[in-house]
Amino acid sequence: MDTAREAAEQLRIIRNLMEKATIFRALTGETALVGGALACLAAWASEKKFGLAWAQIWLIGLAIVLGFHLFQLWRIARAKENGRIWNQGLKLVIRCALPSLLAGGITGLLVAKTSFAHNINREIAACFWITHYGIALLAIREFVPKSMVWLGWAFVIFGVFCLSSLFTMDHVEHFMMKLNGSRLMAISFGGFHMIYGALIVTTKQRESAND
Amino acid sequence: MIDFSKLDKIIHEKGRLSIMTLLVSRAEPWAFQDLKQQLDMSDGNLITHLRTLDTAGYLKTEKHTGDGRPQTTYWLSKTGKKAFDGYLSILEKILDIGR
Repeated sequence: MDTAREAAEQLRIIRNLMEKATIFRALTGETALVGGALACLAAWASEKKFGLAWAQIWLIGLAIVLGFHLFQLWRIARAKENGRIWNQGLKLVIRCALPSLLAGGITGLLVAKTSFAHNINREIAACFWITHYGIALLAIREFVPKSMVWLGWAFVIFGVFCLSSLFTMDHVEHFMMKLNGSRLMAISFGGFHMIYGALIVTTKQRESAND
Repeated sequence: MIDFSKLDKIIHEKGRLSIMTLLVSRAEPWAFQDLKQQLDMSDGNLITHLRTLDTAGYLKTEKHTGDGRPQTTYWLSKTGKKAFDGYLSILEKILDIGR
């Protein structure tokens, strides 16, 4: 093996190990709770909206949650000695999750403004967002706690199940009377996140009490 | 021209390079069992490499004795961090020259 190739091999070992060793809580319990509550609020606000007006409410909700999450990351980084927000963990997570988030986000927006039979565009867009968000969580499975992998699977299973139900049910209108796009988002982004956040926050408190 | 003779011989061994990489990747100290699990090394092999790094002054260790099993944790010393950074920069230089 020549010198340059051996150097590349050593760097590959370093990179692989660093990726394996970096554990990053991409979603804190507090962010999950706030995100879940905001999703329920957005679902209520978007219930009677359609097309891009419907999507706009969810984008505003997303921007607020991202802002809160950045504040949380800054707070956590400040508490650590030499802690930085833009650290190795965050870079890895963004690099792995971004393709799925962008693909799902953009296709969801395009679907939201398109006209479909039975006006199921909101529902399809919601399923795209739910499924792709789940895939993004699974894409970062190597660097995040196991609980986030379960959260990812919950989103993927729910998203795929709802999407297939939309296309296979004989009476789509009946299905939509009960579960429209806003309610699907409320169950997943609202309900799943609140359950996840409550579990993380209570587990952390239990651990602190035992210390 | 830079070559491998300039590389730190202590770090330039796959097992020790792996240990140093894990230690540098997290701010928190690593327990012996966690290192063993992550690197898939035998106890004897891991202890030998840790001793070599410790003798070179690259490691800091702490023994914890509580109610349960005694545990040793490891983290990089300032000398260790400097040596690892130096090792990385020489690897990068070698690759730059090779391009």
